[in-house]
Amino acid sequence: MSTERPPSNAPETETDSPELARFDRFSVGGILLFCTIPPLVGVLLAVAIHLFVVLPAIGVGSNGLTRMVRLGEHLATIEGTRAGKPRVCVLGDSVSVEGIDASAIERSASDAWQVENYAINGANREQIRVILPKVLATKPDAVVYILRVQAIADPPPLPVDLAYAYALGGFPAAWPSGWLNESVPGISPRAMDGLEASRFAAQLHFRGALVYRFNDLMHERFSGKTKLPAPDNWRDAHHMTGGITGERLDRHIKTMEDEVSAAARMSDPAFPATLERNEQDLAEIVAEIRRAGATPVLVIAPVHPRLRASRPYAEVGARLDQRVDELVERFGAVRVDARLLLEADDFADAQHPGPTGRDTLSEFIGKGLPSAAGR
Amino acid sequence: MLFQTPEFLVVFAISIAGLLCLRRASHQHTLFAVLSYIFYAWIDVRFLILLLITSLVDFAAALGMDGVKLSWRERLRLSGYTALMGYVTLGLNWPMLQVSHQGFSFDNFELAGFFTPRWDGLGASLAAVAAFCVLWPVVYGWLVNAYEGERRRKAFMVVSVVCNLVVLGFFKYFNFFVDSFIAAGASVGIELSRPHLDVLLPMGISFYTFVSMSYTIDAYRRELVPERSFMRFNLFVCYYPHLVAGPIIRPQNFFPTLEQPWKLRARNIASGFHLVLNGLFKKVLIADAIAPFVENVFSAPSAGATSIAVMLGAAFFAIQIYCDFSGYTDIARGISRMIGPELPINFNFPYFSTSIIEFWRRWHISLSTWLRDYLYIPLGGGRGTPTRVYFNLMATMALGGLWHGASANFLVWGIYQGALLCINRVIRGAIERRPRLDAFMQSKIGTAFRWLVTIYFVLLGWLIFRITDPKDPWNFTELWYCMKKFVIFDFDFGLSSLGLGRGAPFHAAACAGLFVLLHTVSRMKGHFNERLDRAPLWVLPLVYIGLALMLYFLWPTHETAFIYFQF
Repeated sequence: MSTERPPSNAPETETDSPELARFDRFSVGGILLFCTIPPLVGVLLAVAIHLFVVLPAIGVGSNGLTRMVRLGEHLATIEGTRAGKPRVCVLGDSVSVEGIDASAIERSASDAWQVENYAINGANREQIRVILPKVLATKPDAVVYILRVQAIADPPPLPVDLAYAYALGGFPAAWPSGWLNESVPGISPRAMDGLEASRFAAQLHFRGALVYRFNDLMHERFSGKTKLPAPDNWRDAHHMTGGITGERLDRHIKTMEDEVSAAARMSDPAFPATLERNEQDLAEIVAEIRRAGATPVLVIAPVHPRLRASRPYAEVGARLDQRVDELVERFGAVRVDARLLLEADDFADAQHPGPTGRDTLSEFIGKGLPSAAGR
Repeated sequence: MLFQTPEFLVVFAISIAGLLCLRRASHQHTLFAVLSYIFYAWIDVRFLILLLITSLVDFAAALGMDGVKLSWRERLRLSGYTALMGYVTLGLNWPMLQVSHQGFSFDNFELAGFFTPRWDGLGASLAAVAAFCVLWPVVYGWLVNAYEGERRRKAFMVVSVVCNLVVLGFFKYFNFFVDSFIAAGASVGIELSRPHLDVLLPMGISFYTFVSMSYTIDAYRRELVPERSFMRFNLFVCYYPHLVAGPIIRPQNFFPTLEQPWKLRARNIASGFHLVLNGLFKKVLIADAIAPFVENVFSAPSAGATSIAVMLGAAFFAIQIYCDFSGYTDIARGISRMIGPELPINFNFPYFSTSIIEFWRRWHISLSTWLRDYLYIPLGGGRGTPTRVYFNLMATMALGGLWHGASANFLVWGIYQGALLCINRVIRGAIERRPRLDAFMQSKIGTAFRWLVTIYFVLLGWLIFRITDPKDPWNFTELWYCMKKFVIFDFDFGLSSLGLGRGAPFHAAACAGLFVLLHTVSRMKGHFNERLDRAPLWVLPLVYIGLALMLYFLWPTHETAFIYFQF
């Protein structure tokens, strides 16, 4: 606040400036057209460049999002028969992206499985639900679902960008009736709009592809410990090239504890009953795998030694154990418990396996795969 | 309704068509009042009645001050209109159609359900509107007849100010005061339960309340002749370009524009269009691009944000809030210029200020002049003892801070700004008494030094403004952490806390750099829109096409409301 009088609040009369007099040659209709036609031409030009140049050249921009689109396209190329080698599909989030090497699973499995890793960074339970029907339409013999403790907690809302990427990948077309709607945890109305968008609308949604690409490239250049995630690598898609230690690891451990605690709503007096809806959702996923004739293989993901004893991981983990046991009983699922499998050195951070962890975990899962004889 | 949405394009197209078709001023006023209602009701139709009631109170109060005896017929007509609008806004089930804040859908429409709304507080709200419609004509008549001269003026003035402040206080500050009361109780070991009353904040209430209050205060000061047409007065308050986020207009500037019918003029359309483009550029290409980065840094800074992260966060937020708010103002002014009335400027390169006093002459000018004219000067202004002047400054800025939002951080921000202004006055006085020091301060080096100091404290202020805990208005843990990191540099040059891979930091950094460059050029060579006004005609279509291409590719996929909408 000034003690002297600031400039007057009275409006300026900028439109009286002599430069503007040249616009007076236009009629009102003329100036309206002059101001609207070029921007419309610009928008049409932009749409054309976007559809015919940008999207074919760089996809939806971010490699993470492009992986979702590519997965849909990849699944569409797989014939839905059970001829040839028995197939196993791996589903999960970044722990599975980093921790699964399809070759290592195949090497250690008792039968000649053909393994593909469809894990997607950040794919919580609701995203597994989005992609599952299309995966099952390819008639896999087994589906490995890697479960972190968050699998029975509230998933964060599905980001709208991801919803449009899944739409562009054609996943919603494979959903059975009533498979996914706004009542499913993590699916907001806006995310549902994205999932149900037409192909053209989904393409237009990614008009920011150039920005995403720019961010991805700069991220890779500056972060040093990651490379861009491979959008169409279904074997060994890991992209972390280094790990964290010391204070940064401490912070990550704390972040993970807080994340699980918040997602499981542990401060809610009704905990652990607050998990029930999510557990029901998980059961529906496993039931759907079984209904499609595939064997559900439920892998309890490795937990960092420093997190095992923490309350969120211990309590929610114990609950997850019970639920997995029930699912094994109800649906004949196979249980593979890797919770205590890895040492601290096997982790790149508080949750993602590093190179040694990847080998160990993949071999462990391979050994845990069921016999393919009875398929 | 947001300016950058398709539904606004429809409203604007109707505005233009209306001006082309309607030649009589009164018809135009009716059209724009209706369009303004729709514009406002798009977010939540129920708040429209609140706007109408406060408008009616101030309209009647100003007339009452002048001793105008509205006939019973006139009063009943206004009551009937208010009651009808009360029924339309509260008594119909609009929420059934309101699928989100985005707009309406007829998917769930059901005729019977439309006429039987079931939302919390419906009965009480309708009863309150009915009571108002019955009571105000009686109270008006009583005040006009019971008092004379200055006492009558004062009585109506008090009624108007009290009504405005009660409405503003209840809808904006009820939750804040209740939460503060509970927190204060808890701090001394008294457990208090929260009353079951979830008060929603009507959009733009602070803005239109100030617009409306300035009218009655000016009427009280005899600086204007009260308006006899409620439609014209209503249009003054709810004219959609300024309604939800200003600039805060003054009656002396707006009412003269209503004397003649508004006419579309080619030069106004071109110039207004350039202002809109300028605003869209700032809002969409700069502010919205930076917003995710700022959100990422300040979502939980105490989890490990470094000094660099906090400083960059503060600097980026400074750019974001400027581009967001001045972008909105440019769009609002541009639209209004195309239609007819000229709205006041709100920003004048505030970040080039070399003192806090200068900053407040350049930042949110329509609010700072409002506070000066209706609060600071009535309190005594710069007259009186230094202590009195400092008190006036502190009180004005503290209330100005609280005006921004019902949270303790805004109050602290206001006090902080008041303290800076007081310190600025003291230092300025001290420097002026030392000619050599004064000369140095006016030199290039001195000016650069003053700018650095000013921008440092402005950024520190933005931290106070930005970091708030919505669950606990008095929780300053995160703010305190950030202020320590801002003031005491930790020499941690790690980039991880900048959120690499999240919050689009690189795009944000590129946009911030672009802003600094363009803003500096604008300062030296004039605003972008003014240069467009002067550009050769053949260049303009190329610029429009280029801007359309940029807006298409860089328009964020997430919709971001204007920051000042929440105030």
